Amino acid sequence: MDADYDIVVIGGGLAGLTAGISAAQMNANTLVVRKGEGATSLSSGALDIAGYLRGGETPFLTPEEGVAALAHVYPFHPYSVLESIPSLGLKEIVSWLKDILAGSPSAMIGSHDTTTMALTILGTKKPTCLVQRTMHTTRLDNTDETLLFAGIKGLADFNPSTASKALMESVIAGETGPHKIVHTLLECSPFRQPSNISPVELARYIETEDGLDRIIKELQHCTEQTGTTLIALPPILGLVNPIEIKKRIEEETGTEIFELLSFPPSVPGYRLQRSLEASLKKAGGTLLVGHEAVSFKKQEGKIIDITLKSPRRTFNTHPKSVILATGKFVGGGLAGNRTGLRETVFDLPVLDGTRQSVQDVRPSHLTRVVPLHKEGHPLFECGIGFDTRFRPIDVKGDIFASNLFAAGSVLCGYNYPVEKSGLGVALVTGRICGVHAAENVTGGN
Amino acid sequence: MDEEEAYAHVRNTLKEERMMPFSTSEMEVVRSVGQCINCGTCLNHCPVTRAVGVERFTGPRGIAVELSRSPPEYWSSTDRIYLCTGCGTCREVCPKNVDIPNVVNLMRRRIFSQRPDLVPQSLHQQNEILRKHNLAFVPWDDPDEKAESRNMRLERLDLPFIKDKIRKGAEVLFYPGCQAEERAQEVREAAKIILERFNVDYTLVEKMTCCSLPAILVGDMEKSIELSTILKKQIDDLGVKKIVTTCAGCTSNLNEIAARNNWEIPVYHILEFLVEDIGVHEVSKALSPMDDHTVRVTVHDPCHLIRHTSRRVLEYAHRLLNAIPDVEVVESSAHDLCCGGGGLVGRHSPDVSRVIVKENIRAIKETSAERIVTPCPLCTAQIEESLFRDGSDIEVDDLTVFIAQSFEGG
Ligand SMILES: Cc1cc2nc3c(=O)[nH]c(=O)nc-3n(C[C@H](O)[C@H](O)[C@H](O)COP(=O)(O)OP(=O)(O)OC[C@H]3O[C@@H](n4cnc5c(N)ncnc54)[C@H](O)[C@@H]3O)c2cc1C
Ligand code: SF4
Ligand code: SF4
Repeated sequence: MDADYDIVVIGGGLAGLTAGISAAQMNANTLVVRKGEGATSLSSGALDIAGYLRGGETPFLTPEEGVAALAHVYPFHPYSVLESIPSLGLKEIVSWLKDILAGSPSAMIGSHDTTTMALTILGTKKPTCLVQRTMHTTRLDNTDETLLFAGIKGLADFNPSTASKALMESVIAGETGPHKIVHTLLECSPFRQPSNISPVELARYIETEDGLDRIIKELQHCTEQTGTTLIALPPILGLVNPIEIKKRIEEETGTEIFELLSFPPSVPGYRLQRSLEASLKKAGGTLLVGHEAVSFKKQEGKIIDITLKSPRRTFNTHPKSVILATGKFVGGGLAGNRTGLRETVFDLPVLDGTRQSVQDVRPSHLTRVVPLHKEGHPLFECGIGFDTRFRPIDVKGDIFASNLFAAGSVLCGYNYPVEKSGLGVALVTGRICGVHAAENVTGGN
Repeated sequence: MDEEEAYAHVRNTLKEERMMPFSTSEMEVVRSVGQCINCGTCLNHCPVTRAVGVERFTGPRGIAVELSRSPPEYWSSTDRIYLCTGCGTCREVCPKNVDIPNVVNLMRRRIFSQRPDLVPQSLHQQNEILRKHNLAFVPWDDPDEKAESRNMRLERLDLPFIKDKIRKGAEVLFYPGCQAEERAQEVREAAKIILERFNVDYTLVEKMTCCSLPAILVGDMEKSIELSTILKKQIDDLGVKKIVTTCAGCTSNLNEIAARNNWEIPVYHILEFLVEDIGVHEVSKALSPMDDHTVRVTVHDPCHLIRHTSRRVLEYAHRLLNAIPDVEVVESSAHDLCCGGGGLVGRHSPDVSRVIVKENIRAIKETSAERIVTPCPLCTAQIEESLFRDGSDIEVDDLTVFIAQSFEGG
């Protein structure tokens, strides 16, 4: 049976959810549909906006400065559109997101005019903009703190000894940081076995009285022996109420604790995904999980029909506006094979960072020989082209459909792994598309 | 020779080599495994991993990673494959939609055929019942006793009894499934009441036989094909145009078989039939307040409906519930979590099944609901038993029964 919505958002990562929340807040009847989870729930849960110029080593002083620089140096960068929309500036967008997430498990701290240097589980620092409250600390630059890297026996992702060595080396090399750094391995396994534990298991365990007691006891013991004042933990402080758990542990140990940035599978990424989904519902939007956009109909320059498919059912929607937020290679918005790259829903042309077609370029030719190259791999800059309202362009360079908008990593023109701009571009473009699409529906207001 | 016969032929020639080739539909599943990027998103959501930990159940990633990195011919790992409930949660969150539940079935099939000694005893026992009776449960010996049990249930629920109808050329086949046929007979009766109420031209099957899902879960391919063939013959003889069921498992399984074998007969859950064929407006005319006060209910979403069919089926459930006067729906935070009843896990590892359902029970008790409803007799049984063991006085109802109960004039 068909269903009618003003706006259909294809993709439920940060870009799609931001777009969906924005549109729903403007009273558009909005559906966000996703076939799976994407890069958003794999991310560290810290929202990068702009860290570096490609190839650069000095982080931008502020995300705002970074956004301006990236827009200036790369005229096709999604951030370059911001200039033409004074009503939706970076400042507005960042504080909008903070409002949306306030009170949720992934409540965010930070602002558009400060670069935060967040500590990773490798003991290195990374420039970012917003971090979840549980990942926040202001005391990392105090030289007189004693910092404890606390790992968990059986959690293979995090080796506290290597992390403390790495941080110590940077302090010795002249960076500001605590002069005393210690490390330990806690025994705190949910199923009593000391091996093969996943972060999410620990996060759930810590949410039980038993789990919380155990980690507190272990930490108390260790902080007494070492005089620890600041504790760095892997991101495991719970899925539902991490902020209370952080407070409890801090009270009981008399220290400040914070979570490190980590790899997937990611607990903060899980929290971010779920918090955004809850916000969509609160704003009056509908989330439809487990459905894939498989085909569309276009008439007189407009998308008039999107077909959605679940394992055993197929139905049509007739939206007034459509937002494409299907992500890149993880999310599934772009796919590659031996012959080239393609966009998966509308078969839009895929372009590189300079807007040349890569439709027939073998994806391996878009990577460099060295896996970790400062300039990054050109492959990550590939995506679909867009106009100043984020409407995708077709092979001839014309607008593909007047009511189709695109947001997030399906777009071309930026290189998030080296720029450190991943979730930031998804946020900015998602917010702008959501507002534009809603205006398109309500006839502008 | 058609494709199925060709496959059977090849399979027979390879039997002595102890090899089992992949059929066309299995190849799709195999290919999906090759897409795994080892991201671990599935691990965060698998209900079994949540309940017992990665060490006991390596979970979907363990299955996908090991499998995607070795050629299918070498898949030997039976790695607790029998602990998977087949809920499909992993497939739904996976960025690549790797089809783990079907990988598990495919492996169970191979273990059953190559190394039956590795199949848990309890599954063999289940299969014996299937082989003997063509039903998932040992049927009632005495038809009078069966009728008496049915009447007692109807009396308790204050529902009328309507005689069975078996009619060739009817529009709709109502297929109750084993649970509603042999155990939860009130569900079967409630569906008849609903169909009568809207003057649906329906029939039952001459002789109830299983939809084949339990045979698939055991891994007995021969038996599963036999069962679906028996059912198809009955369907053809009756000449019906669509099938309506009240069981989540039957809905998804029959849909899958119908699609694979080009039955060209649509299979619906009764909720879909009510919303799409009858219409919520029409249904709402028949509904009246259930009680003298507002009844607060919460809903449990069966995996076989939301993740194997479509999440929209449960949207329909909410539309229908909202149409009943004086019913207020409150959401449980675990409404769409697997209850641990699937995949025959409850049969061979009841301990695991009981830990899984704890999360559902906790969340249900946290709501202010006085009743929980779910559109599947199997989920109803699993939740009812767990709430009872927990000492809770929250009532549990199959949603089909709940709707029939809310009809005006009983
Ligand atoms: C491992 C990893 C770590 C990262 N860490 C960080 C970090 O710490 N900080 C940071 O700022 N950035 C990080 N990034 C980058 C950032 O996560 C992404 O750039 C960002 O999440 C992209 O968001 P998106 O909404 O565009 O896409 P995604 O989050 O990938 O979402 C795409 C969505 O579209 C859905 N979809 C696709 N096709 C269809 C279809 N046909 N029908 C229906 N739905 C469909 C997918 O199922 C998915 O839900 C990281 C990326 C990766 C891969
Ligand atoms: S099966 Fe899917 S979710 Fe699980 S690790 Fe593989 S790609 Fe990730
Ligand atoms: S189908 Fe369900 S139980 Fe089985 S591996 Fe996937 S999530 Fe776990």
